Amino acid sequence: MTTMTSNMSETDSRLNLQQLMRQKYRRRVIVGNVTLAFVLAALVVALIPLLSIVVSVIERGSKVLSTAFLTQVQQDPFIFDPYAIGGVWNAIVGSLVIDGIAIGLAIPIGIFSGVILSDAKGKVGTTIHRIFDVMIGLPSILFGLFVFFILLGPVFHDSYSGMAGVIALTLMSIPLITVATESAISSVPPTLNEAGLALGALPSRVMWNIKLPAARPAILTGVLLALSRAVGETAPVLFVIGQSREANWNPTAEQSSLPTLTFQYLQGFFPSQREAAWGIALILMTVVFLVNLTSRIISARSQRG
Amino acid sequence: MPMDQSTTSSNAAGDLSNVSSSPKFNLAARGDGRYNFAMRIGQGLLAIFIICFFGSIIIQSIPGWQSGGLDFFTSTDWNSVDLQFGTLSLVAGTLVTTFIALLFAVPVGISAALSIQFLLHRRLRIFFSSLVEVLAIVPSIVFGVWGVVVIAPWVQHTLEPFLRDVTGGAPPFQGEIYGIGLLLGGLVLGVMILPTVVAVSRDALAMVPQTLIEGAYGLGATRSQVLFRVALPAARRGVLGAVTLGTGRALGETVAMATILGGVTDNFPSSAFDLGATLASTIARDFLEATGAQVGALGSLALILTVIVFIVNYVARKIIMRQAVTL
Repeated sequence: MTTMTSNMSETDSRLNLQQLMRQKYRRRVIVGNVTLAFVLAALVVALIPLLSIVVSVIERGSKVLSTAFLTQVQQDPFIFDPYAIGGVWNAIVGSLVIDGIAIGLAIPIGIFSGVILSDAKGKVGTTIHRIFDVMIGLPSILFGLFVFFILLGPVFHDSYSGMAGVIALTLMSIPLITVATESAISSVPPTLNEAGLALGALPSRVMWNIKLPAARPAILTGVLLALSRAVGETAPVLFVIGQSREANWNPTAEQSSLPTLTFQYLQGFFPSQREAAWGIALILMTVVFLVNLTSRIISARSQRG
Repeated sequence: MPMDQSTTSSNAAGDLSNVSSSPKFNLAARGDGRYNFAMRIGQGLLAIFIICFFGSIIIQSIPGWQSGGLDFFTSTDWNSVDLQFGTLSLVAGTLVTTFIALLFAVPVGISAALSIQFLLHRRLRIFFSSLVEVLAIVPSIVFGVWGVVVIAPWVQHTLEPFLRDVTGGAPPFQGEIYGIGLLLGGLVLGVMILPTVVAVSRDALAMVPQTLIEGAYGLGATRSQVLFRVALPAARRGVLGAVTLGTGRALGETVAMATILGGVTDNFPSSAFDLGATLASTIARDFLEATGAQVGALGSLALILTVIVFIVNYVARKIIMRQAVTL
């Protein structure tokens, strides 16, 4: 009799336990699914504004974009027509000149600095490394102020010059390229380095003929990233290049650039200026997209090879 | 010193761990004297560049401190007409907009990264991750255009009245509604840093070893448990790096904030609907017309901004270090 009851209670408790486990399991599934629903909802919340930007830039920008918009210069303020949009050719020329020279200067300096940094050890080396890491995140307006305070007076005689903008953008791009180069070089497998040294090559030869070629795709990606940032930056060039209304290919003259013209138009009150701003936004977005596409093709090709 | 080294290495002739530090092994490096010399010089140049850069920022800000004294930090009145330079409102404007931006971008961004990496089909994953990577480098002025033209009317007519009605006008949702202002600025900043947060966090999540995730599934974890208790903790250093990067961008954003915030520099924010200004936006708006003492004062804003960015980076590094130890 006693054994019966104990058996009974055992199956009873086992049943209870099973039930409990089932309940717990069900709760776990429900909690999990609710959480997943929230996570997916967050993705939708993130996509709404981002797609809204892409769609509105393409939609409103393409209405403005025309050959006249691309080939005429900005409107003359004295014959300003609030219903006409004018063109942006002067800003396109300015951007091409300034960004082209800036990135051309920043590539050799940045890559060389990256090589130096990959070689730098000890306290000084790590300190420089850390400061460069912070400089990437530094507000870009600081580079413009630096050029304004240090160079605009003594070098450019207090007059606006495209070259001052070039220097500001070069300074801004150098840390980007430097850190990209350094991390690319240090992610080259150490066995390659050791094999080169073991064959009797000097460290300089190992760097030039082994490490740099192996790191090339990653360095190129860094360069393209710096280029796409330089193209879109307003703040560093805002105070130093002036506001040229004419297209000129002379980098030392007063210049204009696409982002600064957008900023200027956004401060204005005329609807036509707002519309022109959308047109420039579309141009900038297209450039950034093309640069990004190029870097993707490069990295895909290097992974295949 | 070389003598010293050679004696120790000869003493421990059979000890292989000593080989790398023995002078014989370093012969290759020594033979390449010119290269080493160039590297040394290059390091010096980099150090000089860094010192010049930060030195000039510090030197240019000195007139600003001197003119204002202690008022420079404690006064909320920044007024270029009667040359009052108190920076407290601008610092507050910078921190408030960045805070609103992070409030939006961090939870949404990390969740979006989790869902892109773990919940979507492979093709959708590639599409969305490419999309956010492109948007992460879209110039901030584009976000500014979008903020002024598309979002400002929505904020003015829908979001801000809604917030005011729901809270009954309790702080921080009281006062006049302009559409532009701190709330709009914070939201646009949030959208601006969102792609960065998503892209960098997703990269970190993609680095989590597959074995870790499969192990968790093998132990019977549900999908959400794998996401939040295994993948996210394993990738937390990268995710924190993403948030730091976003914070830095939000603190230093210039031209978009200069168009969106309204440029009111002497108002300590008491409501999310207030007009305001940030450190960087004030520099951008006032610099071209600035003369004399104002130029120096604007230069000192740059120093305050630099210090804030350095503090954020330092704190983030400390958090990362501490987590590395507890791991």
